[in-house]
Amino acid sequence: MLYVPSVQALIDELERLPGIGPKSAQRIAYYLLIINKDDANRLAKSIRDVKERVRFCVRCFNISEDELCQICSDPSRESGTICVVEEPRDVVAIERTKLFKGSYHVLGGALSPLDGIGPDQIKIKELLERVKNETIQEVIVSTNPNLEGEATSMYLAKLLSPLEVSVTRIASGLPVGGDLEYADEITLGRAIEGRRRID
Amino acid sequence: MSAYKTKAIVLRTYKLGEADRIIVLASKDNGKIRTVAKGIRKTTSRISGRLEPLSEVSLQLWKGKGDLQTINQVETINSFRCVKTDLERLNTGLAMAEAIDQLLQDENPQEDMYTMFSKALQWLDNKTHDPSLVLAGFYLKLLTLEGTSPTATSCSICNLGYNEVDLTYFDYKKGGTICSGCYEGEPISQNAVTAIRAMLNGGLGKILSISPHPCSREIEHFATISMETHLDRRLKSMRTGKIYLSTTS
Ligand SMILES: [Zn+2]
Ligand SMILES: [Zn+2]
Repeated sequence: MLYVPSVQALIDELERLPGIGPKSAQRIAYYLLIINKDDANRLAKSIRDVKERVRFCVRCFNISEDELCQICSDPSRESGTICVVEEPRDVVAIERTKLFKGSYHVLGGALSPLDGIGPDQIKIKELLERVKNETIQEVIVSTNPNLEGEATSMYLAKLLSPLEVSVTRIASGLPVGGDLEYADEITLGRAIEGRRRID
Repeated sequence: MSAYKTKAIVLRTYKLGEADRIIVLASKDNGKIRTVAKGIRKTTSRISGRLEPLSEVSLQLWKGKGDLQTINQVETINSFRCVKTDLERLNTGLAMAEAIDQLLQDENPQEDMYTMFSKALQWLDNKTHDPSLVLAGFYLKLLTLEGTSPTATSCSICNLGYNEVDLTYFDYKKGGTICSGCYEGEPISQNAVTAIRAMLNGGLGKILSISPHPCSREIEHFATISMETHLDRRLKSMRTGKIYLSTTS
């Protein structure tokens, strides 16, 4: 063994993190060895804290420290609109736009037949229950604009069609600041289909 | 190390790191290949729309030292829009890709298999074709290519032909159809036996023109079972992932 056991154990743990290879794991481990004890303890404590405190919101499955997440327990949010996303990260991305005032529903993934992920593997039943029980006028499907995300949005549209709710899909199209000539034909095609009137 | 061009159909993709994807392709000239597309998950990527599963593309690849080849350029040949905008067709296309992923060997050219896959996606992209029949026809043709197609012309046990006995059972492991006298396997309807026989004898086009076909689900079932038995594994997209059924349960 090249390292003393405790250092090796730390490197092994770090290597299991997403996006961290053996080289980065060694570098981070060395860094942790030289920082002072307080800094290291703070990091250890914050890891322990999230594991102890954080759970999923019982209503929307966003990350939360309480039964209901901050968004679900905020009385100023509109109650008639649900924005459906794949992951909690996507809630943060949409919140950054400051344009959406309703609530969210985090599916925890997207339909992916090749990976064995069908409707029962993600929080679709729970969404259906919410649409039935809360007074919802609109469901905005904001899954990723890739094959799995599109499949999920088609499925949700079909599933929710018997209910009196309008199901919309976020638009996909050209990135702001980009040049038209560099867009691929699929994206450009979607942009043309999703065009809007200029008023 | 070298660069080369080929036509290919995207079988599936996996996330890699922060913004990259591994793209598994069925290529025309080089069998199954694993490639890496850098930065494809960023919204500014110019090629992400072209490299979705079930898209047929023409690409330029760079083969370096590692296992993964790098994609330099991609052009769309056919994105099969009809397949991608209908859940049942999409699920069917993925079930085709899953079988190809299993059968096609790494970097070993099998042009016949590629051509068959490309053609099957074109059939599936046609709204007048029943997806279950396209899938069944595709699986049966693949099994023929593998030299392991089931029989639908005689009993697999006593060898008597369909003119002499009623073929009322099916067991792929035994060889295909079985007569009522030999009595083994799963019951199968006469309509399904006739359709499977026609499909195996080059009559797929004619079967596809019968829309809706009265026993398309049954034919799909027997073709799928045969493919699964040949592969010795379950096809996930046909089992867990039927994303178009029972939407109101
Ligand atoms: Zn919540
Ligand atoms: Zn017999």
